[in-house]
Amino acid sequence: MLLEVKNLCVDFKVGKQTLRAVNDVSFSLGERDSLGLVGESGCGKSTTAFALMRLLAKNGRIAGGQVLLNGLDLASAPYDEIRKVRWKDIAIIFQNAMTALNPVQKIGNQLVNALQEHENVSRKEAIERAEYLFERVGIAKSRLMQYPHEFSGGMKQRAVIALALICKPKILIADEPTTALDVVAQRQVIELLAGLQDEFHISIIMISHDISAVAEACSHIAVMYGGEIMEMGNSKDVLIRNNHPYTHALVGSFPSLHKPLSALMQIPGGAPNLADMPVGCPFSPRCPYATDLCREKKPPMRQVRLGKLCKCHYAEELDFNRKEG
Amino acid sequence: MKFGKYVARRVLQMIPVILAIICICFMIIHLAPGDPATILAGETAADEYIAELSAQFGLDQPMWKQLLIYMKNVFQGNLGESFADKIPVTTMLAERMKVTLMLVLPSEILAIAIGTLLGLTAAKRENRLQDHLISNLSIVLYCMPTFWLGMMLMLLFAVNLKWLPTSGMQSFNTTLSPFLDTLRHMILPSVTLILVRIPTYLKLARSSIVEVAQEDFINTARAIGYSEHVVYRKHALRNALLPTVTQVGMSLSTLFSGALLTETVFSWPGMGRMVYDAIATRDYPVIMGGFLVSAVMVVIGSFITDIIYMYLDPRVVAE
Repeated sequence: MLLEVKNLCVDFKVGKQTLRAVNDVSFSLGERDSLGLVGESGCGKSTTAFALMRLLAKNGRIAGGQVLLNGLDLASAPYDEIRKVRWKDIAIIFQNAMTALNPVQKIGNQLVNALQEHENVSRKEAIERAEYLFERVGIAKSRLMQYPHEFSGGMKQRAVIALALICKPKILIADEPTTALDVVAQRQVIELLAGLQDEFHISIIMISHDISAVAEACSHIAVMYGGEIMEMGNSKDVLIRNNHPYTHALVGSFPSLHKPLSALMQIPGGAPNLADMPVGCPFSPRCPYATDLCREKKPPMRQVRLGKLCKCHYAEELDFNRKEG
Repeated sequence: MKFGKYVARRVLQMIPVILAIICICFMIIHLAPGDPATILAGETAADEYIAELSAQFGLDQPMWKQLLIYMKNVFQGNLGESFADKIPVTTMLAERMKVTLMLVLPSEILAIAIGTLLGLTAAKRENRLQDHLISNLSIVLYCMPTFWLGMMLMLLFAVNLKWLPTSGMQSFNTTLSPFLDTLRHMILPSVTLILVRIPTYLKLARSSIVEVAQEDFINTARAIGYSEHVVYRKHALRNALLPTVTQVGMSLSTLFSGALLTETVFSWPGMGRMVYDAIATRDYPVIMGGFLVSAVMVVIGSFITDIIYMYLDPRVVAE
């Protein structure tokens, strides 16, 4: 396995309270794999991704667990080691591409500097590589030495992707790569990422609240809620045969292209308050199937069937098979 | 081309601004109580003598006429003659400006550099011990009256320790070369000026860097794996410098009008002293000359600020 995350926990200090934003998250990522992390805002998906690169805000820290990349534990490695891993092994496309580039530096120079930070290449070689990537993501190479404000939104998104690939990373984290774009551009970016994955042999972790978009782009999906992974398996299995009521509700809350338009499902209540988490299953207060068992005892993660993990006491009974209706 | 046009437009815009400044300064000075002829003639002078002096300086004319004459002269490059010293004001200004610049320019540059670097250090360690130390120190400095600080430094280093001269620009009996002697005299007023000016630049840099440090592209820089040093120096600092540049542009006027308080405390014969003395004797042409220079410097300062903006932030040109 390229990347193995074991029992990762992330804490944030807010005032005098310590909040657990990511709780006991485990997953693994093989070469050329793609994993989608989905869930509502505040469920811990971005925090998980940031923790992998040790990019947590000042008040956050990894409270436990391991992040193994080729045997190196990123969760405990010294900061200088982490700096070498960043961009060279794991690169990230941030949520807001519009502001992710330095406004006072030419984009080409931002690419060149990033490459030269990690590899001993001449400026000429670095520019050649940047030009290649620009053309690859669909921007004329003549625009390499322009400033971010001279680019349109879609172009900035592409430039950010080019920047993320400049050091040929093994793993690419895409944090809501399509949120800021219109539907047509969203599609193009997803296709672009898929093409790049094949060409550069990268593994992708894609973060999104749009479970259907992720299902198209990724081979595996992990559904997160309240800082925990609730259900994980291959995309089709998670999307079509939900074993967790939260996944079921999440899938139902998006309109389908293939079925007649019907009322969308909504999940009652709001995202859980990290300062006041339920004793039992974190989803129990909003779950229509919750019993006293759910409210009192936290369900363990267990395998429901081959390749499908689920954290629900009633995973087997609640086998929502969408094909059967 | 675009740039040339922009400069030309800005220069043309300066003319009415400067005209307005001349009118306002002229009126305010003449409205102030006290009459130069009376002061020059002395307390026991006869009324005839005062009237004669008034006529000589053109002070018996109505104010609008005086203003028109002054304006005409200004555009011919003639700022008049000092009532008290009978020297052309332009000559006085040129000489005093040199002396002031010598003191104020290096001090201001040092204050900008030290203030910004301290601000950067504080911002990097936001809300940690170093930040609290630096920020509190800057508040203490900011609250200190300039003249008091100057006098205390003088008391300590010149009077008690006798390391440095108390005031003036040159000593009469010294074995040092004139250059080194002047340098020795410069130390105390320079230090006073630097200490007084540091907090402004420190606070500006700190708050601006703290703000920029929260922007997304700083996250990108960290994710790329740059060291904290590079993240702050190369990515945060340049984006955070704009307020500092504005401040520098605005303080350009004090560069020329001189640091009045510091120059007075240390008897430094610069512009500030000159204007101070001129006010005491109601020497209208000299006061006007001093005001005019600092007003023009504000206008030119804001112009230079805009040019530096363009260099620092490419987005400014686009707009």
